[in-house]
Amino acid sequence: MSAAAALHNYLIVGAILFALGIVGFVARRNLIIMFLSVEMMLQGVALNMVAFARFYGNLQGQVFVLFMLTVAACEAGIALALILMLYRRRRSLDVSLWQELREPGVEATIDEEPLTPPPQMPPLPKLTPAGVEPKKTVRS
Amino acid sequence: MAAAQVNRTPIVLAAGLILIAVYVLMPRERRYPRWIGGLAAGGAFFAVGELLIRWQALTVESFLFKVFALIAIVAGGMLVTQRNPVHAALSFALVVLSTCGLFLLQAAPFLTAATIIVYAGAIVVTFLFLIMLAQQEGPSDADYRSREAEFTCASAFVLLGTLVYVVQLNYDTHDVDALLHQLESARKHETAEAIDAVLDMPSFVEQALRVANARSGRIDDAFKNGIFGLQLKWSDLKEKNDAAGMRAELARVENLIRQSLGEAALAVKPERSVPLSIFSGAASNAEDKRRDKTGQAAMPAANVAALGRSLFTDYLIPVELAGTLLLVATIGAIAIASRPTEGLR
Repeated sequence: MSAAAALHNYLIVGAILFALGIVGFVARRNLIIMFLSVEMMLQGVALNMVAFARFYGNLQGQVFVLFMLTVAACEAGIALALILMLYRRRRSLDVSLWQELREPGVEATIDEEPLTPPPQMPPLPKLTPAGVEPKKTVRS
Repeated sequence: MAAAQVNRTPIVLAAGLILIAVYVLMPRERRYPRWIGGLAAGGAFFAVGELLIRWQALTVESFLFKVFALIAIVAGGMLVTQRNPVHAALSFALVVLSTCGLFLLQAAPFLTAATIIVYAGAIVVTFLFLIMLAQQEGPSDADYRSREAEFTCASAFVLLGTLVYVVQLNYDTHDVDALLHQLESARKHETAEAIDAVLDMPSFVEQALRVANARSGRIDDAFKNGIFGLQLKWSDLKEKNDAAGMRAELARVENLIRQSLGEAALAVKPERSVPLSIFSGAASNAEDKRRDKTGQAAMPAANVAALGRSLFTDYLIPVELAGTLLLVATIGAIAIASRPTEGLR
């Protein structure tokens, strides 16, 4: 067994991925990057499981990773649906816009420099309708 | 200690190929055709790799592990620090690919393929679709800011430090691996003088006892007798120039160290963690597991068949529940996302 590929090295790599995922989840404001950090935490744990499966010589770790994969796929589907709904309400993927959902007793984090407003799309021009207008049928 | 006999030919070959490749690939007005430079560079890589393997400075497994681990960590760092969410999604795909490389090194080929298909294939593409729908004007101003970065990084540092410390405390096998490596490299030599030159017996015995004390594994009399017995017999074998006898003794001591100080004697042992049945593999605390040549527990070669056997006998109910979960999640996602909302549209 080569020294570099020993069990504890795999566990350390898994721990690093997990810690980076936590930092990304807590500190970033974009909902998508937050969700990707959660997925990276799951990858770190999966690496841990597979390393132990190899270490003990049985398949339990791999079976558990398979179930984790299933749950992660379900979670990705539902999370994306929820993110889409949140975007439709506020037109932004910023999670700081949803601070009214915070726990009671916790202060809201306010930006020191306010965010620049998103660029407004210029109003669409009104064109004259083309073609012949169909006859209006009068219904009494 | 006698000077090691170093074969000069591979070194000269490797150095020559490297310099020829560099010479050919140098920019000049009338270039050599590219394939000559490519061929020389490929030959140089092979020669250097062969040198490293010959000196046992590098095995394929450790090299691949280092490469995959480095890419995983760097891509993970990039994921949490990128401003553009598209770049973050691509870094995530890179994390998944390198983690799958690490899975492959751990005898899990089916999980490699499944994870690449599900994560890097389906989830990343779905995310990119979502970014296309939701953030068409590129990274917004909120993406350039982070929330309480200092506190987050400090707590993650505490978490990571604790995890790494506990892992090193319980699962670290550097010293035992060094001992075993010494024995293995000594056994490779042919003559008794070469073996004796490579392995300095008094310091080896002292190192073995020190490692044993530090680990407090099964340091019973059998272990001490084994080590001291080796020391006593060594001068005898050296006088008789008995290389085969030396190798046999070293093999015996290697087995002894593996049993007493190796994986079976780790500080954290599974208590009675038995898998549900033998379809899922050997029990975790079994003493007589099948081991391959490097001493690691042998995994089933037909990985997919073994996983299938395990899933459909031991874990049948979780499989059915996972199917139900997928169905419910699909219905839920469709129900959530197709609801018309009030407010801005």
